[in-house]
Amino acid sequence: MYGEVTAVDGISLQVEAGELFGFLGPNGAGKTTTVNILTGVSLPTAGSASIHGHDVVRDSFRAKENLNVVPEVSNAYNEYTAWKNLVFTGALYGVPRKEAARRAEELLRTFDLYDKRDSKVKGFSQGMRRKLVIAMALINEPRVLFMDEPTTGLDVQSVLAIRDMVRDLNRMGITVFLTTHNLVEANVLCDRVAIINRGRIVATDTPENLKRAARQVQVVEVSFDRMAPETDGEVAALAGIREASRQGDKLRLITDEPSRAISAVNRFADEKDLAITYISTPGPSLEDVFVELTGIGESSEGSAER
Amino acid sequence: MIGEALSPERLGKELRRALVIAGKDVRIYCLKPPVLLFGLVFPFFLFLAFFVGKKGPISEGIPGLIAISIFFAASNIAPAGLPYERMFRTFSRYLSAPISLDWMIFGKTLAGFIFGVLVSVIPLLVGVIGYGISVTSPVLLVLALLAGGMCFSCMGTLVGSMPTDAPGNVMTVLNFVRLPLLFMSGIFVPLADMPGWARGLAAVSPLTYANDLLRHSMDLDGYYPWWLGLLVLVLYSVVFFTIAAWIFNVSRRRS
Repeated sequence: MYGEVTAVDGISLQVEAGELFGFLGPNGAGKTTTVNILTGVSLPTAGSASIHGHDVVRDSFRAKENLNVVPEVSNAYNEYTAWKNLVFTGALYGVPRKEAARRAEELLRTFDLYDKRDSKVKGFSQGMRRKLVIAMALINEPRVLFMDEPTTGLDVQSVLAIRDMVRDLNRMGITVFLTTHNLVEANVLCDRVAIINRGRIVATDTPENLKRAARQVQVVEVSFDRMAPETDGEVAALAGIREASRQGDKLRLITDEPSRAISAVNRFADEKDLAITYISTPGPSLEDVFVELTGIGESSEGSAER
Repeated sequence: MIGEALSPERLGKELRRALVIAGKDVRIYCLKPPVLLFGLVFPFFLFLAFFVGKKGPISEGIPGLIAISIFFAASNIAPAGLPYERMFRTFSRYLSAPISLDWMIFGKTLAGFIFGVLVSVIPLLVGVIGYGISVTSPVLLVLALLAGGMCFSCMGTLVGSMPTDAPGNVMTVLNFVRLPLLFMSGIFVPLADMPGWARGLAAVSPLTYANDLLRHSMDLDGYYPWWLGLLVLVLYSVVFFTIAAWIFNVSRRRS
């Protein structure tokens, strides 16, 4: 409950040890509330959750000894140096001083921050802060790592580097609970995903199974040599096409009958004297599944519906 | 789980982590401008304003100066730090770390206590070296500093428990509480010279007892028995801390 609002309601999910688990949902769906409950930041009004057998409310001390968190906001201490942030976090998790110093050095080298170890965090770029906060979350060698939107607001190079890090951490045996609304990220990283909407879990499965399960969602991508602004609406009105949305130089068509849609697109191109430069039936993406399950995006900009 | 929470191993872990938080807070927040201003500069100016040019030896005012210093310094750390921690989301670090909320609050309180006691050494040295004050009971002096430091730090933690991330709001409330407590205490007007109603008000301010206890330790006239002053400071500490812990727990449940 958040004030009088029920933020999450009757959700049930199990994450296996060693899994890279994605937790998806639109803004306000209950992702952060769920993570806050699992990590001890908030208390649930009802229900239970446990981490490696330790209840997060009744045995929270033990539960929290097994985990660490990379929050959405890079919350390192600005007044401290990178080194002091790591050593302090180690001490807070009960890591012996010498061991914390050894791990701090190793992590700073791994995350390419060793040269900045004596610099105060207030002078760090967003990418450096993010890397430091991830390093801080690893200082106690957690068995479970919660990552809340770890790549939000970063440049492409940092995003790719952090995705590689997440994969590496998971390969090392760390269970990763990844909260994200970046569906591409969830698709390329996660073993399984759960989709939450309005406080309830609407689906839990592997990304590929979710895509297969979304049978109604068929996609045709098409590009013409000339793409006028009105083309989107005209194509959306063709027989067999439910929705058309512009994606770069392509139109992404949602249809229940792909062959009928392709025929209609061919006739439309002939009538308008357009050349089809690209056509493909890529199948539904995780994004399509997400939109289908959560019902969001149906009135989003850039899309035209029948 | 309750039995485990009270096991020596668990208590040792909690205490060590509370000390880690206290050490970090002292390092980070004692150099913040509001802490320096109210913890160090303000008490000295108050002292100069009220005691310089007054009849009688200035040494009479030294216990008051020490009490004011520890009062302002110890109560400053938590209210100066907690709103910043909420603003920069570092507060949630404690909540997800393996330390219980009550011990985390104790760590925050300990920071104010350490800072207050350290700051009190400055006016003490001024009194001993500059004005020839003699400490006749070092044990009482230490007890006064420790009990006063803990009491005022707990008071600061109580004010800092306000669930806000605006430092200005918390400091305003803190001064709204501190200044009346300062002026109703027996520091500027001796308790014995006060009318009955004012003495009744003074009895509410914990600062009255810290000042009185310090006077006992320096062979100056005290108004209350020393043990009563000590007892009241300890009781106030317990009450302030308990209410602060309750507010923190309620805020967490509502978050």
